[in-house]
Amino acid sequence: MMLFQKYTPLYVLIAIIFLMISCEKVVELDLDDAKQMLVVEAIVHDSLGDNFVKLSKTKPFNDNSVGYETISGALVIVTDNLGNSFTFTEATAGNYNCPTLEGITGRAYFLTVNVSGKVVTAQSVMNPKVNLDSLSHHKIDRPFNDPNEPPEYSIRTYFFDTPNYTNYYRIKAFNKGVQEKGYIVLNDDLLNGGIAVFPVFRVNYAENDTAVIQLLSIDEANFRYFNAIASSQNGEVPGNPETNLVGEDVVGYFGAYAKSERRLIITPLP
Amino acid sequence: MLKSLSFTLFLFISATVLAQEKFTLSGNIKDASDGEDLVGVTILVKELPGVGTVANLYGFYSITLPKGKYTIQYKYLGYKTIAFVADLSKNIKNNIQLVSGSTDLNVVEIIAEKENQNIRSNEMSVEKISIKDVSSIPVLFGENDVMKVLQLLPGVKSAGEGSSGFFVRGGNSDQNLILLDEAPVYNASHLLGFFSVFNPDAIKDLTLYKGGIPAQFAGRLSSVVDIKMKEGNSKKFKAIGGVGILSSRLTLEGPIVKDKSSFIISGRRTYFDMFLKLSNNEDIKNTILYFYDLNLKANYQFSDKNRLFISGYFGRDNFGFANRFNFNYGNATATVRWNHLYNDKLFSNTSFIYSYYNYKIDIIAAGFSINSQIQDFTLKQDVDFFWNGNNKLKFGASAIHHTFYPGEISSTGESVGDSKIENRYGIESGLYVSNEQKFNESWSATYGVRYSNFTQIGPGEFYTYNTQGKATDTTVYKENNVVVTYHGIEPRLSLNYVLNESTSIKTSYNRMYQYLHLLSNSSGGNPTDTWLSSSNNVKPEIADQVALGYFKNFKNNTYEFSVETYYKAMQNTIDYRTGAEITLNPKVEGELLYGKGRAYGLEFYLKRKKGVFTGWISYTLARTEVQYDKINKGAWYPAKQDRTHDLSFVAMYDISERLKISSTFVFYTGNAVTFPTGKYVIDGQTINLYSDRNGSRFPNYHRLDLGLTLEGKNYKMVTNPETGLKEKKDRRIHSSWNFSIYNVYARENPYSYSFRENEENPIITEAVQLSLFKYPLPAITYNFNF
Repeated sequence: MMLFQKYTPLYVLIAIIFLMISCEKVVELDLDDAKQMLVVEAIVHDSLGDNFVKLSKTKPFNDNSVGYETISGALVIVTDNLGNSFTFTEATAGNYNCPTLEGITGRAYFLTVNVSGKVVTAQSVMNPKVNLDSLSHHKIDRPFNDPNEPPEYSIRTYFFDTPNYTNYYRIKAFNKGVQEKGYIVLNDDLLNGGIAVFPVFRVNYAENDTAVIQLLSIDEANFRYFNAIASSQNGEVPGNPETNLVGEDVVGYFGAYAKSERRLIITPLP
Repeated sequence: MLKSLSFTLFLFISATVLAQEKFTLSGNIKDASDGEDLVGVTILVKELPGVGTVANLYGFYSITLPKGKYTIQYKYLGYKTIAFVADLSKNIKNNIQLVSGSTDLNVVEIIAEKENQNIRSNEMSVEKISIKDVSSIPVLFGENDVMKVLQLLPGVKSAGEGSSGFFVRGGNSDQNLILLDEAPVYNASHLLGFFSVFNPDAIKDLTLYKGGIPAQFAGRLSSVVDIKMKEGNSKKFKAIGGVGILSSRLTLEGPIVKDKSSFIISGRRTYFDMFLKLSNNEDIKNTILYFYDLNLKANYQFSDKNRLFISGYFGRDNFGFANRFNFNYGNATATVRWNHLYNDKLFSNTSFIYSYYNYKIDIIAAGFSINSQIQDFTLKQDVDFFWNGNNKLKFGASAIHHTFYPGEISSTGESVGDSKIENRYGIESGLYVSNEQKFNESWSATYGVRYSNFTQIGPGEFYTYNTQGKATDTTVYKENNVVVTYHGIEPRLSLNYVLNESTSIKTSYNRMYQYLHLLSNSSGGNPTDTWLSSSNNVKPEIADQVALGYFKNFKNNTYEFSVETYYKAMQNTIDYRTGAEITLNPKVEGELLYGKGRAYGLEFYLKRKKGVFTGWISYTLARTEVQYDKINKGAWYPAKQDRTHDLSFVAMYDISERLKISSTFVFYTGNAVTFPTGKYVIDGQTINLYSDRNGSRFPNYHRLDLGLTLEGKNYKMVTNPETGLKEKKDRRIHSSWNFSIYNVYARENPYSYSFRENEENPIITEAVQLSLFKYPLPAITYNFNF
């Protein structure tokens, strides 16, 4: 359950105690260079042509040049459990798309990527869509706030978690057309059906922004992947999250997502 | 049952008595100044070299000898030796009070004679710390802490900068059993691990067992830290206290009935938040940040044969921002003990123990709170049977009822509904017998065996998981139905071969079972870590350890030297899947991986015990590795607590009777960690790419601390009105000042590293090092007693 870690400002406590005596600085570490890996990011949504497969390569941590190496000329095919087959075409370098594919709830989707003979496969099931019923915004009342700073707002989502069904959710937040940072996933272990009121953690908006929030129904493998990616970055047990991609030297994920989207204009609140 | 048992033993004794007429000398040993029980006093028979005994945990001793006249000597480090001529033509009871002899030079020489308990005793891999010894060692913020001193000993490693957590011989921090008056303390630290919960004024002593663990202890793989609270002064009322930069302490102790009954009450509270009140900022002003400890103990001697002890501990950390957020956590323990003497050879102790830990987080702004706790009830029976001069038998039984409350969310507002992770229940029980036997002048051994059992009981829904960690099946158990039972035989053995009065070789073996496991994602431990019981999925952890040691005293026991080597094999150890959710996860058992571990090392220890210059050097060369099928492709790799070199140097020098200086220096190899080796982008954000778990290292850690203690004059010069001469007169109030500097040469030891995108330019990724102490950190403490 993510909400717990996100809300527990233990770091604030450490910060207060050691404010005067601690020291944070950027250091140059001599890090081993890992073997270059293939990066696959692939989503099929439940609307026509709303899909993408991005192919690129990893680079060393200390390599601060712009951009990543993209992979062109790969063979990208998505099939479903009814035998339909969709071939993706490369729109821009490393970005593949299929305008005729529309994801359908209940179907399993199979991805095959062939990069000069090296094959990566994956599968994902499209779970039933859960409607994002409404959004609300709330002024953030944070300790040590400077009253002269412009106010910031957080968003809460309202949706109905289907009872007797194991749901997994991903929430994406956008501002001015750009996706906000952070991976938000949720399972219904502690919801068990009923109305869910769930805050969009760490994503803040300013007055008069338009918040666009997506509620995505995802499968368990995607839940585990994004849950792990969020907590594996600088934790005590860092590592590459378990992926649903099958192949050698590959990182990333493949997801079939049912999407519900709402927007909200952030009106000033007292 | 006990009656019939003692009857059987009685028959045994009668049989021996018939063979040769023997009589028993027994009694209690106390400190003459304050009436505290003296634990571990050596009792020797001058006429029979090599024959003797050692007083037990409650200061009781008993020795059985053939009829005759003997000179009995009572010897204890730092006390004057008492000799007593016993005419053993009948059983004799002799209660002894020993006088502290640290100021009398002649006495020091007398006791020096037989200060070779470390050579004679079968115990190895055991460290004892007396509170009196630790007060002058410099520590962080001037807060005296036995747990910090523990970390300076061989085989014991600090869990991190400033942390009171520790690792023993490659074990994890949850593999240490920390007992306060027999009650397990589930989270022994305050303020996120920087201070231990043990208020030095309330503590009498600490014993650490890191190998050859005696059969009466069980439940953790790596070590037992047995901490005893003071009983309270049974002679006169006393107050002890101190004022430091971080906290103040006050202890009151005294007799309830002189020489029969005493009490102690001891409190400590930090006042960091008082300084915050001075701030102009409303938010800082309303910040709550403190911890406190309260220790209470009383004992009453009903008769020569019956004595009752009641002790308790309560401590809490509080942290919050008014009206927004509140986080508090702490332990509570209570122990009721009844000492009973069945006869002059059979000493019994019955304990009832309660232990509790919880944390509570109120997120007032979001309208919900989180609560988690663990609670134990223990019933324990231990018997010491002082069979004869060569055999000392111990046996007993214990049963613990555990209740685990992993977590509950209760909502006060609209956001987030109520939910609760099911409680878990377990019964941990054990039976043991152990004998300390002296075969001849050279050979002696302590051998025993323990049977331990853990039964997980309902009610509840129990899941089974597949190899991916996905719950595949659910079984419902009713209240008190058995879910699963584990049990095992735990042999314990220590063997001692005394080469001469100053040299011995010892070896030991022990097997330990651990049925409780701490879920923690930080090495030092967080207050929100929860304990998990062994279950249908989680098997008990098992460790086998062998150790071999050489012990030598030099210069009339002024120097103690030891070298020990150990090998420990561990089974069913626990680690987590990458990115596991371990807090408030009802299916947390699916996030666990099970593997094995091995730890081996060589420990050197040289200590100077006497004189104006005292201290020690300890050095450990060690390796700790683990193996999990799903991590690093199943290869063995270094555990995070693997440190090749670990060196501690402690020196204390008495410049004069009133002025002492001290210094500590530590150096150790950095922890094994996982640093990223590459990066890539997911959803427009940079993600670190990792290769091997624990494939990198922190830089080496080193630090120097200095301390200075200035004792106030404990006398004043008064003119005697009769003689007109000036005379020394004792002051009622004794006081001292303690000054210390932590991290003298301002070494920026890293506390953590984070790897992140640069704030201005997300294309650039950078490694950011956090060091807690950038400057030398001075502290000052004023101590008093009257």
